Amino acid sequence: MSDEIALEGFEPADLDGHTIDELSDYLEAGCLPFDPSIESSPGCQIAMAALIRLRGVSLSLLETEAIDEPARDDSWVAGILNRIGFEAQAGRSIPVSHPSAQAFLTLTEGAVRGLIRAAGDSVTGVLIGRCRLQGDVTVPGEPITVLVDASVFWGESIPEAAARVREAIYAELLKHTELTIAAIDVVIHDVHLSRSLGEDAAEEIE
Amino acid sequence: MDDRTALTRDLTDLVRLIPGVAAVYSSGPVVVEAVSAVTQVVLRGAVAHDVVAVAEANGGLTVSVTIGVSEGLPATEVCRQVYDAIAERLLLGGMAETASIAVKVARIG
Repeated sequence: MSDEIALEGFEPADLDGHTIDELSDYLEAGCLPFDPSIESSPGCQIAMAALIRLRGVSLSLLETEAIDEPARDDSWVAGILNRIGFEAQAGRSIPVSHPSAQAFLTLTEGAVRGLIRAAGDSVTGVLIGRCRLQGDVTVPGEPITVLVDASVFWGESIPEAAARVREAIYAELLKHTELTIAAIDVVIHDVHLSRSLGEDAAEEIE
Repeated sequence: MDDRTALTRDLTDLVRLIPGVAAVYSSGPVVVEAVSAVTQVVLRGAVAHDVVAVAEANGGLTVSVTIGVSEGLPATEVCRQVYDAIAERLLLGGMAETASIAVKVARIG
């Protein structure tokens, strides 16, 4: 399924009635006044956790880019914001095994995508753009491929960064799910300047 | 307080105490329940409304709960422990006619 098809049914208000912009504003206000409809929504909580990580990275990047290229296009941030909102939705139900016939145990696809995004973002010098689970996750034992797009900071080895992302994601999926992971495909689609590199690196990349 | 409400609250408190459970979410539409949640916030100082759903069906009692799991423990294991705890509590309460217990993990970490 292409991204375009996957996004066709997505409305920004699908996050339990909230948009990514609303969640961003709520974070900006220090989560005040307390909003129970946001605080009691797992989708909103997943999205806000991702927004906090993105905010930390993008502030660092924008500070550096402001030195040399103040008019730089930051549409990549908007793209990630859109993906965060889409991926935080519950999605499909992923079964968890139990010997009892009365047990109906599941993980939401949104919870697992949030786990994958957090694992990828935890890798130094990497920012996850989007992630998808390819395959029928509702059927136990079905081979699943994890598709991840990511950005790296200038100066990072792309093959090594991709390998670290793959390892981090696999470890988390192994710990928290019963998915049969056939592959984790990591595509590095962008390189950003990081604040720690300073002007020399910025000139070099120009 | 009727028996159903008491059971719902009992199970909600039980699930909250299980290691690895970081949050217990409403199983119904969040927006619809926001007003109720606000009332509970005023009364208790936190989002603490009753969130384990209990209903009667043809085959017996059905229970459903949606949880968030902390990063420290495997989500699948916490999910199973929540089921086992609810099943045991229902059995001890003489409610052996349980049709289903659904546990959904909606957030990890």
